[in-house]
Amino acid sequence: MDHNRYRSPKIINPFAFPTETDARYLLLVLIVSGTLLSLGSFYSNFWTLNVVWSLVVGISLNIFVFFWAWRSAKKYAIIKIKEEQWTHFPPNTTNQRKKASLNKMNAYIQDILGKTTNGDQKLEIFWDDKSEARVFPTGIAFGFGKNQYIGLRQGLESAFNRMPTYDTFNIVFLHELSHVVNKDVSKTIFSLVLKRCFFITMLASILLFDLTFIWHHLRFPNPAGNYEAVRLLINLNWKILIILFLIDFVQRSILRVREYYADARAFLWFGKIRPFLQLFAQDENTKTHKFIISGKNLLNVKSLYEVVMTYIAPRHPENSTRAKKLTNLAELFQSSYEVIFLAGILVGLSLNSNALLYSLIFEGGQILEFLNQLVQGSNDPQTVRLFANLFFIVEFTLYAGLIGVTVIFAILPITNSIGLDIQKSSTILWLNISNAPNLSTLSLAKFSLIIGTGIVIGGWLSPVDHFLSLSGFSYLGIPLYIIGWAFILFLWMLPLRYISGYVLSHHFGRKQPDRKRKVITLISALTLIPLFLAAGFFQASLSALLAFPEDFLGSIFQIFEMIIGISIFAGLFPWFLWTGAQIFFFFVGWTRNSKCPNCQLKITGKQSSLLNGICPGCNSNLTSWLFAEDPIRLPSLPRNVVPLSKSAPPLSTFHN
Amino acid sequence: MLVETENGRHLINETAYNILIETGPIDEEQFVELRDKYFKAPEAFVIPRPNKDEALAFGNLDIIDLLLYLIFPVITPILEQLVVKIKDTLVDEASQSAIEWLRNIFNNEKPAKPLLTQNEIKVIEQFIDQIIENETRRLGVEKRQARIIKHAILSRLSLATV
Repeated sequence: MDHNRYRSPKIINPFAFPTETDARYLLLVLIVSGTLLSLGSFYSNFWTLNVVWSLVVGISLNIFVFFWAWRSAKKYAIIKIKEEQWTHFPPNTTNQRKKASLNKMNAYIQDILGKTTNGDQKLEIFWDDKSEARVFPTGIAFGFGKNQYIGLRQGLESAFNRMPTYDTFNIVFLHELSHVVNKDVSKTIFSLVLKRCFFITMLASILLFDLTFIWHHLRFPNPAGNYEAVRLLINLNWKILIILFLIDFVQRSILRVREYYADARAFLWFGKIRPFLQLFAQDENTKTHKFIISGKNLLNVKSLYEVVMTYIAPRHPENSTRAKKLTNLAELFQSSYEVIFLAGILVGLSLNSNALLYSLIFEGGQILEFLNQLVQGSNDPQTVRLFANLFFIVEFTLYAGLIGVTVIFAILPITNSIGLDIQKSSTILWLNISNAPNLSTLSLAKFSLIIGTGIVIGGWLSPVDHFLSLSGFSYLGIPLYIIGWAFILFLWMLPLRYISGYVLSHHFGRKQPDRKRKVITLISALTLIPLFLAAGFFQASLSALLAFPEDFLGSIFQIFEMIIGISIFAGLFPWFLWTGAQIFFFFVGWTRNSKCPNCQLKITGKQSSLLNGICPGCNSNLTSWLFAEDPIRLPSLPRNVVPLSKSAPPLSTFHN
Repeated sequence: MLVETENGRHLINETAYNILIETGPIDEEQFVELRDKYFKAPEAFVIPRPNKDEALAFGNLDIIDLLLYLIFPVITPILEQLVVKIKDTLVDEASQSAIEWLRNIFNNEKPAKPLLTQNEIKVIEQFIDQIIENETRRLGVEKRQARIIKHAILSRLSLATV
């Protein structure tokens, strides 16, 4: 790494925290996994009501799709290089002028790589001088795992020769390199192939299921149940289509959002924003999708879908948006309504779909009863001990599995999207950094409502109706559910906003506060679990009461007592936990008076926020971890290659 | 048509090259490739446009050497009109001399004799503007780069004004 850097004004570092790309990637993986799990249980329930089998089918589908995606991702780069006929850079050429030019470009590139990468990944550069797109001055970063590649198009050679008049080469190369350093290449490729594998699996399985279902009902017709069967089939199919659309939407958004972070890192390395803004000011009026409305085109579903998605969820951001994000990097700390809404949908979808797993408790009870009967007649202490161990293992596995599912599909999306966003925004708000995102109480209320809406829609989207679904009751109750979930999440956000901002703004020095951030995330997750259980129980009870009043009205007081009890626990437990956490933070020194890492001056807790993170003793930046390092020193430009001839090249012989 | 005659092709070749090298270094290999492609099928010549929604790539960037792509389709109709104009002016000489006269101008050599008046330069400017308008619309590019060609041509022609 190059340490010869020059000074530049303080710029916020968008990589001080995990990026939005990571959050979206996690959402994609969880939506895919959750859908496979719930559909697996749905398919198996067609033949058997055994929950264990449902779990086995769901997990098997997951393993199949993810393994297939992993294998495809590993081969992606090799296939792409072969198909596009790319060659290693610099390519062999007999043209001496070109060879000299490409060698100079290579030397320039290697110099930059020495200053920006630390060799923990194998990076190869490839050259495109054959494809149709070769004339454009662009590049592409791809790869998987430790093997990372950058493909450079031939048009970049002209860009290189145009330096320093035009900075296109530097911007494009640094941008592609940023993808590698940001570690988003593997995630991007995996998300692409995972979507493909998932789509194929889903469409094939749903088609097979539909045919089996229809065949079964034709073989064993039941006029009384036909309407319900048709309703079930249509319900399943159209919800699957919506989920497929959601997954495509999220995957495209990953491609889009990662560009902002690549631009940001390239800009931090380069040090000048103007060339980026000039580049992004290029005309965007070219429309490659000239979709003519005609009968034939409208029947081309794939083409129609692609055109629509280009407008709803383009794979690339508009240049104007890229320019806007670059001029205010603090925007990258802002919560994305899209992400938190999607997180809500995932929570609702998964909690509802996987609610079947809660009946594992009863299945487990039967296993325990069986074990109990076996041990009854035995006097052998070893046998008794063995069964006691089995008893414990079964209990533990069941409850661990249930908590695991809840944590993975409900807690993780929330803590890693809005939870992390709150930590980011709160930190820069505490330090009074300009253009910090709005994190007022009203904003938190807005976020809560968005997630709450997402949760309710997600529950409704579940192809399988369970106790968190919305079927069977009045639409007037839906706002009540949204407000209920929003209230729970609002209560959760309030202490997180205060405590995370306080702790992280008191972190001084160059080193990232990764450990503190993870501890805060863990505690926020632990406080969310009882709140979720309370909200879930409340919704389930209300659903049951509204759907089957005659069955549940008699025990309404018991239900009411349980709700009160769970609510008190859900309300008090987080309070105790956060209080305990603050005591812990104080004892380990995270919130006690800290010293300036430069001059060792003691800074009180209250002072640091008032000082905007600047030490009153030596004026150095206390929270330097939150700000970007100085730009890299770019290599000196090569001298021009062999001077051009003043005479035009002769006409080619076939023209004479 | 200029592309159909050897002298015409020389004119286009030399004019294009001399205008381009004034703007900066060019890739000669690419120049020859594009020139030959244009001569082979002028009507089918198109400028590649960026694919807006290509996944994994940097984004929507135009060709750096747009002028290199633009020069042949823009300059050829301009030169054809100029040949007619010069031929009309050189009433007592054959059209081949008009091409030779233009080749001298665009090879930065002193013309045999100045021919054009300021008014004639203005008329030439108008038809150059019209050609640029038509060609840039056909090729789907901005006029900004094409104006470089216009200024290069007019500055040379102004050397031949009376």
